[in-house]
Amino acid sequence: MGRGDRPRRAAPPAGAAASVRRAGRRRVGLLLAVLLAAAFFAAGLLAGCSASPSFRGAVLDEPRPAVLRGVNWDGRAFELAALDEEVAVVFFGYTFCPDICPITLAKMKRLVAELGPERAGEVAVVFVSVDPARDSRQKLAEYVPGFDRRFYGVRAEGRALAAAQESFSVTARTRASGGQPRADGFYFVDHTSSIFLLDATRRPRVSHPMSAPVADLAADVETLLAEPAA
Amino acid sequence: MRPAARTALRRSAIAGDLRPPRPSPTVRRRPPRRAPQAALLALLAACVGSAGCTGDATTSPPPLADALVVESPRAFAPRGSDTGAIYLTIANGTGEDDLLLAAATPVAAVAEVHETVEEDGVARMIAYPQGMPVPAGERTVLAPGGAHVMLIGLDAPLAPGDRVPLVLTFERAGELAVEAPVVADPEVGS
Repeated sequence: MGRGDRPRRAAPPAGAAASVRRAGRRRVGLLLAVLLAAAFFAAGLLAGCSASPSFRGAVLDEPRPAVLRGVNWDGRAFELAALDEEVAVVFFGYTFCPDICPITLAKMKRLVAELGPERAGEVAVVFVSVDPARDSRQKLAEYVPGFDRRFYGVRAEGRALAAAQESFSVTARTRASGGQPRADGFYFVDHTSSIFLLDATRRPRVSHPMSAPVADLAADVETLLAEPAA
Repeated sequence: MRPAARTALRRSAIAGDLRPPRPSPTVRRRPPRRAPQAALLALLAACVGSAGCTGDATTSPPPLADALVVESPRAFAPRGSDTGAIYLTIANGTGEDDLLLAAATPVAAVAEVHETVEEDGVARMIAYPQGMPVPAGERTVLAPGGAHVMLIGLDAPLAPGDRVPLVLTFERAGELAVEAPVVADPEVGS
């Protein structure tokens, strides 16, 4: 904007200011300033990614362990508190969901691959149906293990499902496309699409949007795994 | 040519978006001899920084052809699901805005254009009863987590490697037939 000699704003380190007088060293000083500016700029951009210095996702302030009881796709009773894995990755969806639910499950496959076999063994991936009316246990048994047999696919109904949704602050609402009931009876379930990461005490600690890069999920899982056991 | 001019405009706009803020007025006013390298470094650092944030590759797409073209169609229908989705990109180089009115495929009872929108962490599906806008000189991307051709009532399970015939009907460009290979993970395209 302004022309002429304005005071320098690029603020090189205080010690470097004296060296500006000599032409040869001025060049070095400027180069240093540029490099510093670049470094700070890049660091600022990277820092902008994360909501907290230690997690890349949104940090949750949930004092109590989450509650989730139901039946897994293999017919066994499922209870979050009874899981052996150190970290749990939980998200809600339904098998008739054409886009984000299978996309998230496919993403979980990539997360498991990214973590490697040893780490992945310490992580439970849990898909919870918000559409028990259409998602029978058999339906979940056809669907969930198609992604990975180690994934849990939990069916809960009525109060159990309501309690689970409440403890994750998840909403789910049945809706016909465009507001009108469809002739074929098909309906959507608008639902919270966040991916929740739970620690060993089963408290939801971090949430990620469905669009989160796998690397971010993996980094936060690693951070949780590295926490000292409670 | 009009379409070519539009493309050029759009491409320069993209380049403009990618340019990071200038590092500092001092550097701009009196560039020392080594400034080009330093500036390049700063630019590189900024690019790496922003790519890390969005996770998007910053490669610029090829220029639009002088027609309406469907690019990289791929179908996704996990085992055990009665629904599926086809993702694709519509490159409209015709110079005229168009509308995607309908989709049809023999593998499903219904094919509709929908878009997933996320508000306050809640995902919901919106339809395009009037057709989905396909603006001139742009690529309209139907991608995971966004717009897609939704397949309801699949006749048979789709397996990776299968090819799904799809006919898209546009208001101006008319009918366009494509084949979408079935993929295991549409976000990585394989």
